[in-house]
Amino acid sequence: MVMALALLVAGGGTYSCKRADSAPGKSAKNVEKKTMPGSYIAATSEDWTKPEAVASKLDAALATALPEPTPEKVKAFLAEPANRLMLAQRALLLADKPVAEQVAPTRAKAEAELKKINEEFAKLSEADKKTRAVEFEKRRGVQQAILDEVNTLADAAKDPKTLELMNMVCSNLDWLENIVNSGDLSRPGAVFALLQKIRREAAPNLPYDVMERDIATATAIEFVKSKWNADKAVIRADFYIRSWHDDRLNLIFDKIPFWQRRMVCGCKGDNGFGELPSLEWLQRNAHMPAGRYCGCQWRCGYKTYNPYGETVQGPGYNEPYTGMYTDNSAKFTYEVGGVCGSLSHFGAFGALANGIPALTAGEPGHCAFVVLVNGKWTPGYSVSWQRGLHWQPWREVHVFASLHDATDVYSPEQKNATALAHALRTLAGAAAENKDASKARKLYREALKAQPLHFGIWRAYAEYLTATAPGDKAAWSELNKMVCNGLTPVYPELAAELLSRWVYPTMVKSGMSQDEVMKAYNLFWKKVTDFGPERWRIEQFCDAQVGAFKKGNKPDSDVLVRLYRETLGAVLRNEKYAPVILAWGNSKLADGDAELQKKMMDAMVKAIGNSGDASPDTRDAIIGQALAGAEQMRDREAFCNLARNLSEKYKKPVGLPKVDPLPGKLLSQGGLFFASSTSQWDKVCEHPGLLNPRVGGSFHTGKQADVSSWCAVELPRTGFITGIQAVATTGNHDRLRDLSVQVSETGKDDDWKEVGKLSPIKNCTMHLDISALRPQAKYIRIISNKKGDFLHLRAIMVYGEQAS
Amino acid sequence: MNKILTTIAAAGMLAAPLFAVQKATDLASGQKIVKDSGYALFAYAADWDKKSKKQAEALLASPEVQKALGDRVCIMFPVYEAKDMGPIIQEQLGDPKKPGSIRVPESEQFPSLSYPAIYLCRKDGSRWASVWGDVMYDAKPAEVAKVINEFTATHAKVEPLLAKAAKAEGVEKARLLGEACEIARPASLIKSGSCMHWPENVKDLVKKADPENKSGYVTMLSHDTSGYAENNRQKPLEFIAELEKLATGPGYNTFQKQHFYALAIGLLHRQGKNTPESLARIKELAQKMKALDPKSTLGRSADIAPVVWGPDLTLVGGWKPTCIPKAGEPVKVLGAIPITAPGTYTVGFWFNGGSKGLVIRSVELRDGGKSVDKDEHRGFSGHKKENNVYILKVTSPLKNPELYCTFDMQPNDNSFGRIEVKKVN
Repeated sequence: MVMALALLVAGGGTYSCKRADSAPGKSAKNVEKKTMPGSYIAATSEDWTKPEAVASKLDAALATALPEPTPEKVKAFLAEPANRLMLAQRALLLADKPVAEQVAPTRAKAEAELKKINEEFAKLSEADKKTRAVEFEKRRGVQQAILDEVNTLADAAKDPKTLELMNMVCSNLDWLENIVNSGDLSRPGAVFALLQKIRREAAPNLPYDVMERDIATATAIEFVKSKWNADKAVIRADFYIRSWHDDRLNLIFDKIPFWQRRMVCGCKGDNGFGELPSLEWLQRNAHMPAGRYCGCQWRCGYKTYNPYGETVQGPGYNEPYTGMYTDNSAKFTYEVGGVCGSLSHFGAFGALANGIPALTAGEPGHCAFVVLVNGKWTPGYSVSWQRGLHWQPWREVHVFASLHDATDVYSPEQKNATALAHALRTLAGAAAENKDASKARKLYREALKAQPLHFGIWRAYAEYLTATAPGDKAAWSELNKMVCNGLTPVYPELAAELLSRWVYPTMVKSGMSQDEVMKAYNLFWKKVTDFGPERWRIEQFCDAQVGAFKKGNKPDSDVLVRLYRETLGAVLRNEKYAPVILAWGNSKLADGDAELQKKMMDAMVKAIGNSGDASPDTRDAIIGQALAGAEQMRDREAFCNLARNLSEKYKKPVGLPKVDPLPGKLLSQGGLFFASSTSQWDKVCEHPGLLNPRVGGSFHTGKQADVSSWCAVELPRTGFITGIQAVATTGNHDRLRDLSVQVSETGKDDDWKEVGKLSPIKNCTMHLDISALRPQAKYIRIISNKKGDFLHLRAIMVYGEQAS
Repeated sequence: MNKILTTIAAAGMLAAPLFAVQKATDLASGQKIVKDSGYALFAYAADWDKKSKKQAEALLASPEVQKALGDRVCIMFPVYEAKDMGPIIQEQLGDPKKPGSIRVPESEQFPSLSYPAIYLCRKDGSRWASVWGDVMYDAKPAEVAKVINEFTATHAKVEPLLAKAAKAEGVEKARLLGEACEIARPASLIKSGSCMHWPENVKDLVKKADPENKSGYVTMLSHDTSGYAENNRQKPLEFIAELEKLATGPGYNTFQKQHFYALAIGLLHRQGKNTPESLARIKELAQKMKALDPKSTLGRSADIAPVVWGPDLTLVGGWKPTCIPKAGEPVKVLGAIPITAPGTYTVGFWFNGGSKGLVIRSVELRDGGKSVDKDEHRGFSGHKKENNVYILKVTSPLKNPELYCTFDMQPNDNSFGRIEVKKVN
């Protein structure tokens, strides 16, 4: 065993050490507490200046203890805290390993630059060396600062005090597990260096006080992750430590899990709202129940111009207040006002300053925010479900679902599953480092089986496969299957993120056939059930699936049609996804050529035809979408085929008045109906009934100023038109007093000819007899001569003789 | 013995409450004992923080606050985390529709922004002042008492006007209500934590009493300063005379008058082309704006706008086209330079906007004309920054520090940004 001595300290986890109020920068009290709190502490004497050696030792110990790390054995292994500590130390080293490689190019450049500066200086005359000494010193300083930057554990361990702290952390199970198992961890060496800085300048007691420790650690992790200023990290940690000791924070702060403490303490460190004066102002002036933060932004004025008339979009908005609100964006926003960005930051930082998890989020053309209220992520000042998070639990994954996912993964209910998954992931990472690919992959898979919700592990595995086995089709196929089965049913948005960013691109590059890839795509759609926490960017995901195959610069249209057909087939019974996919398909129709449109329509009709076992309402909703598409595309055949699939609800008579038919054949039945616009009162499923006088139906346009509303019918065949009848709605007849009838052979905008006006309404019916005129036409249009008004009817009948 | 008894009696008197504050647990019991001075409600966090209840209780028990509250009926009431507790609290304080009951702000659209808070209410239950924010965060009895006393003194001027207004009609009624509103909302108190409140529905009452706006208060109470600025921000310079007329004439309160001046200053800034005349006019208008209420937001801004929008290079205003000379010509940074004590300082250039980034050659620190330190290197501050921070070392205290910047630009190049001086060691 690597541990020199094992010390069991019981009863950790309770927060203590209350102190009197203290001023900024003065968390550093002289309270001496020599006992580190924690559920398990085992002193370590590892040489952290040689992390690789420590890793080897740990791997050897783990190999001895777990020669065959099956989930069951690992679970049993985790029962011993000493073993968990070993795994946590190994996880730390895994996070450290890539750092040296990442910073190597920057360091090499700095070394080269330093060499160049020294060579340049050496060539100067003695006199110039004297006069320009300071200049060169400054230039050297810039490069030396890069070289002195602490990034790796080995860098950090060079400082004795930091090394002391590292030993403390690495001997303390709770502390270390928080660091390595609360989300992404960047540059652990830099984290320790910053933690030591916080300890030295603000909180010398932090190893001995759980809350101080957690606040300082959360702050250090987040500030290193985002590369924010280290001095500001000290100020930030000091703020929350003081606030907690002074009982200034909302009670929720005591209970939130460590990953949310990272969100609170690590709120934007490079933003005016995150500066100390701003946080203090908010704590003093916006201290309210958590739920109220979602509306508190309205206490600030929504101002696009300041009192001087300067726009908020320009520097002039702030200029007349220069120096009045230094580092206090909150007070500035409250007293002067702002727009959505400032207001949302006011709301989010108001919560954060009081210890409540919150974050800002981007929405289309807008900035909103989210607050944790009674355990629920509650949007504030939100205008859309499309939301990109400004703080992410999973690095560079901005989707809203990731908040819910992290909440799930780190919840008490998932604690054991997540712990097992973390352990297996660590073992997988170690195997990967030791180039045992087979073992690594097996362990990653086991980790994901143990906790299929853990996005961080999904991504780790996907990245590992990308790096080591990009051409292994079987592996990618299996990963796709695992994602679809494990993550998709609960968090489809996250599954889509993973698939579109890592899995699909590599699958295509690996040389998988189109069939194989399409099959992989389809599996996702078969597994979706609900939207997850909110509606998500389904359409963009569909585009990503299609976009993986291109012909030239454009997506392959054959792939598009196939994808549409197969996706529809998979989701048609799903009342949430089906309308979205149909609408997505409709949007592609508009962009496509005639051939593509026909294929897409055929796919739609066929899929709907196969959806017999879906509920009638679901089918009708789907068909409604499809009908709208058919009308838009002027596809009469699709329109009629779709109409046949409507439920009985739309085939029952609506109660038309008795109307005597006009002379001639009824030419309009079996035709296509379409109108100038739609409205909230329009029911697409009732459009087909308009052309069946035994049933009837309805339509209701919208209205636009200076635009005449109209409706039209494309006849199945060209005919000689002798008469038109229309049945009005029971009310609003004033809108139907002045209706003209037009005919066309082509239906094109410039090819309509007026043939007369409908008669005044009698018994809800209007007619026009044009038997004397008998125009040849395939299209008939009824157009209102009253501009800027609605048009609505219950039936349209066109009579005449067939001409073809 | 008598001496002892006297001492005991004196001690007893000192121990007893000095002032006549009355406490009630709810409105029903409060209504039985309330006097003309009304109520003081102490709102505190019930289940979501650790401190505010103790603070509220301590304030209520303090002699200073008790003295300030006089014989008002004091009621402590909890504010809960759950949103729907508002109605429950309201229930405790009476049906808001019934006369005499208190309508707490927690059940309204804009509750208090922070707790603990003290609401001062009349006998009829209407709220006339709120104390919250900084002064309640610190919860120092003397300071809270001071705010209550200030409000009470103002209230004493307002109430007689309201009482007269209740009996008056027409323009006289409108005038009395309007005067009360002017007294109850001094500009410097707007947008601070603690504030007084206008009587309920006062805008409608004034409008109804004075539909033709003969009193001028209909306009004053409904004037939207933000909308006015937005709608008139592109008016020509001649409009400034109109703004001055509004700012100096009747019909608007101090807050609104300051906004007229601000808009005038803005018009000059945008259209005045930085001539000496327009800059002098900006200064003049800014001083008038300040004189109306120096403590208000605009009052404090009055000294800044002329500097920031002036032509010179300053730390407050940063760099702008008017202060950029030809390449190589040093330009002095006007105004106080915060470099006096020994140490290491940075001078950073941070681009704000314009079509050109700033190219810097050097920054020199002088003391009484003599060079102290100079950092000479090429720096750039645009959307990207490169070597835009200059380092100056001071080895002994400076008496008259001056900062000179040399740029590598063309005169009046379109570039804006700020200059930041920091002591790093």
